Amino acid sequence: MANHLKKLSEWKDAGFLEEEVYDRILSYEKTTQKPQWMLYGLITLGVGVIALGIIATIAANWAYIADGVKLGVNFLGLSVVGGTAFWADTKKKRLLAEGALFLFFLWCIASIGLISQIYHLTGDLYQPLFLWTGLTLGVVLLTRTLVMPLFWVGALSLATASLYYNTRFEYMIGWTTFGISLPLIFAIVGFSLQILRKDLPLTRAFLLWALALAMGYEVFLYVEGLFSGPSHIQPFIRFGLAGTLGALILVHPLYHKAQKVWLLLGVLLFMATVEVSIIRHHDILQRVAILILGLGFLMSFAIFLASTGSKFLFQTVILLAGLRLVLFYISLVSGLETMGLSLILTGLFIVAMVLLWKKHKDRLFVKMKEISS
Amino acid sequence: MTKRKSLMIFSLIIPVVVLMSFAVRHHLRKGSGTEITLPIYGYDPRDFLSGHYLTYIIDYGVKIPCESQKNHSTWYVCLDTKTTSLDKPKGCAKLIKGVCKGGRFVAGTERFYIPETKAAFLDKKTQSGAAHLVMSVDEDGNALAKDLLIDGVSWKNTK
Repeated sequence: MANHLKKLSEWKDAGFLEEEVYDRILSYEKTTQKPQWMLYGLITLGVGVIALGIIATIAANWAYIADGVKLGVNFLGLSVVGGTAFWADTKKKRLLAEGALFLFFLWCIASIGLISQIYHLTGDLYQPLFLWTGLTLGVVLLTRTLVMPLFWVGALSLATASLYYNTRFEYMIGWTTFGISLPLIFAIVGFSLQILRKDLPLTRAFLLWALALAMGYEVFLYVEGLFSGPSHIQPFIRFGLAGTLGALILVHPLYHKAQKVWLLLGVLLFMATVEVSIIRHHDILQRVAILILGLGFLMSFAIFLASTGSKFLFQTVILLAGLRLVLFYISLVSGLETMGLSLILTGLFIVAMVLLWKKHKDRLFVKMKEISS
Repeated sequence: MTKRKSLMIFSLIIPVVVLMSFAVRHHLRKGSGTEITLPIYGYDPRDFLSGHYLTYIIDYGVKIPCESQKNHSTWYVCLDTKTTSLDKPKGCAKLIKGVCKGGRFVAGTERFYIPETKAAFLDKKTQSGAAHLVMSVDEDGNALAKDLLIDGVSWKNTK
């Protein structure tokens, strides 16, 4: 029984629904229900099996297929998928258009891989990734869903990290500045696009990645400590970027005053966390300072997200703040000699936090929304 | 035609055209450059065979001072005179350009894709020193792997 029908039955048993109304709803549902999901599921399974069979056959005979044939079929397929995307978009068949665009997007990187394989090309990861992201920027701008831009910005992050790692940049800019620069640059791009009234899925992807990278970097700072490169240009880069982001937030026309305050506070606390990490004491005081600043950064963004009504993102950030606490707690109890006792305490701590979260998450969301309005 | 339609045509055609031109460019380079055959050997027997490709070091017959160089410095190897230089030498017919990476000279041809069925055989043969790499190099020293020879015969014709 579907979930909503189960609920109806419960409501009827509890006396909220009369028998007659319940029967009428049931009979209506029977006429409007489309129990074709099973059919679609089986068809999808069948198509999947056929695709796997084709792939397996091609893979088994891959060495015996001429390079020209491989490339010809590849480009024919890419063109057909591209043509399908265009046709479907023109005919307003949105689902098909989006599916074909995404397939086209993935096919491009597969084509790069195929050319590399046929001509035995060697290179660093950033080379195919930059080529891929460059070639598919147009497609990413055209999509109406968030999935492809999320992949695209993710690939861009990976390409940038690979470029940093594999070239001379590593000697010019230390890891500290690189780690802090990427989320700041993504946030600058995202807010700039928003200010230019380009509220595309790509804009949201940049902002989501900025938040994810900043949070990831925060955890990295906490777990790994900090190693800063020797370059004197680093403070100028990170403070320059943070200043630019701050200015963009101040002039942002879509956010009200309270939202701007929380956003600025978040950026400030993020920068403060990094600056405190650079001081090499490695004592408990430094760890506590990083924890408090890091939690402050997460809470500021959580309040901002609550004010925008993004419940899912709000909950994710709060969850991460909880994980930070658990991480800190584990680092404290790891010194205990009794392994069993420390595990029991950690388990109890996690269970207590999850129960508290489950009980108060909705109230917390409403409260934080109130704070920022 | 609407703006979206124009952008869509542009966005869908550009990747196909660019990728096709890449393939054509490499195909032309493979056929038009100077052919050079050099012996290859593995620097680490454990990762000599990596998935569906062989990774190896090419023996240029000349010492390239990559150990003492910073990473990513560009070097030229002239096989005619068996000399190395940081600047492009004049009048060298068999020239290879590469960069120092991790203390090794890398010309971009240090990987050769092979089918899984022949992987073990080719790995064993290359380990025993029976393998040579056929490369095609252009006048700027850009190299492209063309073929893998086992005992002087193309790997495709080995049993």
